[in-house]
Amino acid sequence: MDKNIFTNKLKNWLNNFLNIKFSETHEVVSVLIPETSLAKMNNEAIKQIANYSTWEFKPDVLGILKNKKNSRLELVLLNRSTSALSLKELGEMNCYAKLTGALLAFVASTNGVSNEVNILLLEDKIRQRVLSYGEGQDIIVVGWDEKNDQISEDSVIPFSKKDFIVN
Amino acid sequence: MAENNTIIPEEAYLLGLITGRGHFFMDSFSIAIEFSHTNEFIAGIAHCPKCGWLATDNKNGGLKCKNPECGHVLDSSVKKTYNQPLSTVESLKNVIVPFLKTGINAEFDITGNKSMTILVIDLKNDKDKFKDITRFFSPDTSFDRFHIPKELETATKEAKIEFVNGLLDTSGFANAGGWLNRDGKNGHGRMRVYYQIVRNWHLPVEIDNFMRSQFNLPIHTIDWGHPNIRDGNLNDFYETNPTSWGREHQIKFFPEYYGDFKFRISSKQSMFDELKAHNLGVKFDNIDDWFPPSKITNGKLKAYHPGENDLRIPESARRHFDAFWQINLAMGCKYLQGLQSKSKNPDLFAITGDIELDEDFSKIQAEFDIIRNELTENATNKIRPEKAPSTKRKTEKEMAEQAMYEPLTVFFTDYLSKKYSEPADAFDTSAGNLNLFLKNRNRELLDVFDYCDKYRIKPDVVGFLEKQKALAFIEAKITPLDLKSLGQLMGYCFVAQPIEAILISTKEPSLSLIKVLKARPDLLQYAEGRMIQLATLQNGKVNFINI
Repeated sequence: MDKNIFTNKLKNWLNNFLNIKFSETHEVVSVLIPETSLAKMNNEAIKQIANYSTWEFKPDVLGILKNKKNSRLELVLLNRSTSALSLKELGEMNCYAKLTGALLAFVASTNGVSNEVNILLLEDKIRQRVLSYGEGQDIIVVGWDEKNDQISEDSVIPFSKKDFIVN
Repeated sequence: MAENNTIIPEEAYLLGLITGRGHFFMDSFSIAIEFSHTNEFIAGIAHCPKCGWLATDNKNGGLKCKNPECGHVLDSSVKKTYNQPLSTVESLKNVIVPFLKTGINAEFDITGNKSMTILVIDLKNDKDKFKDITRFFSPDTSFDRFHIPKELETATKEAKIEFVNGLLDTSGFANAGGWLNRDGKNGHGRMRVYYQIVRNWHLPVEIDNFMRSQFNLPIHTIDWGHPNIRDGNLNDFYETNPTSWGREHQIKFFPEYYGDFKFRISSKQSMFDELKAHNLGVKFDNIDDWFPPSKITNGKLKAYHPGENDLRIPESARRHFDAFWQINLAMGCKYLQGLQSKSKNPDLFAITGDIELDEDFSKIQAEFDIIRNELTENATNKIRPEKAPSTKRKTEKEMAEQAMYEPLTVFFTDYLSKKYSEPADAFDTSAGNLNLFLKNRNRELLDVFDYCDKYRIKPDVVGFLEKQKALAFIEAKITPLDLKSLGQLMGYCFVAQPIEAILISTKEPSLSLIKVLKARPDLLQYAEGRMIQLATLQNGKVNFINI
């Protein structure tokens, strides 16, 4: 699949997902495809978040939510790949998610996770180290089912997030 | 196991799955089973509508009947096609997991991608069962080392059949292309199915001997991933890929003898049924078993291959062979050992397969040696087509990064041995995964760093501190270091928890990275008290950067 088409599909998916899952607790401010690094983005919401000027990276899709309780702005990061995901992509997202304290962090691929990494991530301790970026916060890895144009149910890692993502 | 210590069918099936493609995660009390399906779709076989003979791919596209008196051309669309990932997931959900659940109290999950589906069996709620299962394979934890559990020899016939069913679902493959040039009563081409065994050198003979001893079934051949078997005339060595032989082993058999067994993966069973029906329809009289072995005559000798001493081959098979069955003997085939013990000259039997021959061993060996050397010389001097230039040309960036590895290897060896006051070795490991580097190029280190067997990761330079069994990584870049490159090394560090990790570039790090790390030095931390260090390599000297 063409990368830009995939990015757009994921943007639409994330928009729907956030509106369904967070409608009670958050307002979805925007879901967008950044053209520059977050530090340089001309976006009023981003500029209200502390330390944004050090965020010299560009996720493929960005979600900005506003917490209805305390009005705090929170980020959802999503990176995508059209080849099988390796540790590089996961380590990269771990850095970005830690840095921004993201509410959610996704890595998506039309080819899922590479066989090598898939086996590594089945080991609890390794999976926690690779995916965890804060207390109770894990990067969510998803595969994209091109035929049905949706997240593939059997691709979600960690397994504990499967229901949250698919249902 | 049941109360009387017999293996129940569900458990036997699981043991078969594990033997074929299982991994144990001892800390997580879980088991992962790989179901490999390299191609998303596979096509079945086709028969000529006019005469019923096999029709195979035609050079001009389409299919052509193999019957020389017919030669009818037909369209490829007559072949059935099977979606492997889809049928694997559906079969797991609807057939395999429900079957396993009847005998095993576990949580089952499915994950994977287009080329592999993984069944994860979580036994945290029944740790005793997990221990029972792992005990069958102890001390090994992965399929490339597993043996067939000895307990199966005394199991019920039903359990033995289920064990083979499990083995078939993971390592069995029924493909249209595996047919043999044989004439039958009603046609041509004898279909074969095979077990594909990856990196495990004792399992092929164990499977062969198990099928013979428990079911009295023939095996057609074993295609060993050995240079003399896969590249006997050195064509690949000189023309394409010198290590093309380093593939999986294939144990080939005829499906018509496997009526007692079944695949639970529906696409595999459908393909198996197609191949079996073909063979039964064509009717072959000959069992075509490899045992007893064919004698090795002068015409069957093979050239010496430079790969015969490759460290990937276990010591017992790390030498020259002229026939596949000699590797069976080297790997402990009890049927060949029996035949050898009855032979007039066991040493001669090993090189000729002749049980009656009783001549001077060294004379025959010397005669064989002359012929093998001639074959080797001919293969070496053969005029070959010019190699097409590789389409995988390295980019300038890759070449510039590669040029850093040698000085960094020298630096790292010195740095680690001084810092930790113990001997250290560092290697350029960029060409492949760390576990394969150790397996293929440094077996002695693998003995010390056995825990690296599971590390399918690719750092550029790896240092080994043998005394404390510790690893150290370097990731090299020719661009200014940034968050992205930090994240990449972080991924490797999260997995392997090295004692040191250095991110080095020929350029100064980006100011934005320095700015971020000054505010958030915790981004460098990958384990308790362990941080990635940044450095530059300039004029052959490594300079660490203080954040």
